Amino acid sequence: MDSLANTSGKLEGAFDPLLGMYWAWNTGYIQLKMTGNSYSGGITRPFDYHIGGYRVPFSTSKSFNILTANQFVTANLDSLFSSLPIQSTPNIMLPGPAAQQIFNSFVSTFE
Amino acid sequence: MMRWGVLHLLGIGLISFMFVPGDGLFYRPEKWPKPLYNFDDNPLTLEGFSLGRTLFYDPILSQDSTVSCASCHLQYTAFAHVDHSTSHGINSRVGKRNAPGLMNLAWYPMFHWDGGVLNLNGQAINPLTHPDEMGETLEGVLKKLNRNSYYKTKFMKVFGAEHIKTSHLLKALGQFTVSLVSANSKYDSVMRKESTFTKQEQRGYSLFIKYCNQCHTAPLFTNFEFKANGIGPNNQFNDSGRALITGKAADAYLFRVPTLRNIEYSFPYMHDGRISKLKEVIHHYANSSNWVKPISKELKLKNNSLSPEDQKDLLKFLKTLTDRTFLFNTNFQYHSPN
Repeated sequence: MDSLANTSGKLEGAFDPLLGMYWAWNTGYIQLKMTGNSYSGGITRPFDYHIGGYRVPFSTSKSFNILTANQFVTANLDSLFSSLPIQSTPNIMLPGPAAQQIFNSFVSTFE
Repeated sequence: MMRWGVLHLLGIGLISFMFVPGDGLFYRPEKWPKPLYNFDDNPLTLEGFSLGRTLFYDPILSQDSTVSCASCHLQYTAFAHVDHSTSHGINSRVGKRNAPGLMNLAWYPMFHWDGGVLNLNGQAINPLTHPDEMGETLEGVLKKLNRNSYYKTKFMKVFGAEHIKTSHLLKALGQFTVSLVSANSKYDSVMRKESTFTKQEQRGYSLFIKYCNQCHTAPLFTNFEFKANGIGPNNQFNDSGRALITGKAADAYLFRVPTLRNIEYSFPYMHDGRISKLKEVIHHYANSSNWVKPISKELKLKNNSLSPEDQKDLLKFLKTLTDRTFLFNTNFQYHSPN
């Protein structure tokens, strides 16, 4: 979602805050949400990533051109998961540099 | 949209009651800037306004049906929360900030003391879902509304909605809150040349223009900027204000400049309600030796630049911003659902 979609206050259809991808207190949408547990070396670590933000310089939007209706977009999520800073920063719920870094990893998963 | 046109025609040169339309719906006062609210997206109707008003006063919106919007936004105090420095929610929970008055919201570029919310319709999600306020979820409140035959009928009538969705709820509330226009104080009638200030009010007005108007700019009596006025951080909450939204250290402890309209009635004052009397607020500005950093550069007052007499004059002027046709407008009061 670009900055206009974030701020226009449409709030219906795919923009419905009910879908759980909306920040009410700091108007904007969560572009990517990942919640779960990481098991590594016998240790379980919970993590919560709500990645979003449209204000420069910490914008998390990227345009893709989709040429035809039947075109598939594939993403290699393994590279995203292996880049997550689960040990050092298991929770990110705000726009900012940390969120942008994860967003950039997310973008690079698209082939 | 059509409504503004009609009122604009009527408003020119006519007597003051024309500035307070009888039905309570939004109007644009003469010479005011263009409102920012997107009326095309949510065309106002009397039915929609009345539905929004019913919701505003209905505790069904809170998790345990004990708290309504009006619990913290009372009309007679310009929809602010008197007697409480910060807002109260379900289970006697206490919030961190002073519930602000609600008026002239159609001109607001952003909402909340930190400006984090950018549109009026979306604002309502915050008090609805905040654990220290109404503590409800959107799912929960929509479920309750969809089970309620009164609301089912009303939402069908206003929005043609078979099933009440988030946007219907928010638009209905928006129709009511955007209509809370206050532009008929003594100050306004003086500006319209229908009455005159007393000598003391006039002296206060001159002081206001000299010292206050840069931030509390007419006609809205705010410039919607974020400033620090020398009261210093709140020791209990350490609320860093605007910085919570922007993440910038320079924005720490800055809060949105509030309107001064109806300020006589919308006590207590400041973002955390720490000052209870208006004359104490003026006293704070008049005594720079008591200020705590950060202090915005617009604060030009120095110690003794407002004498005790000046402070009284300023207070008299501020009271001319009281709009009784707003505070006692029966269209904004609770009406039993019909």
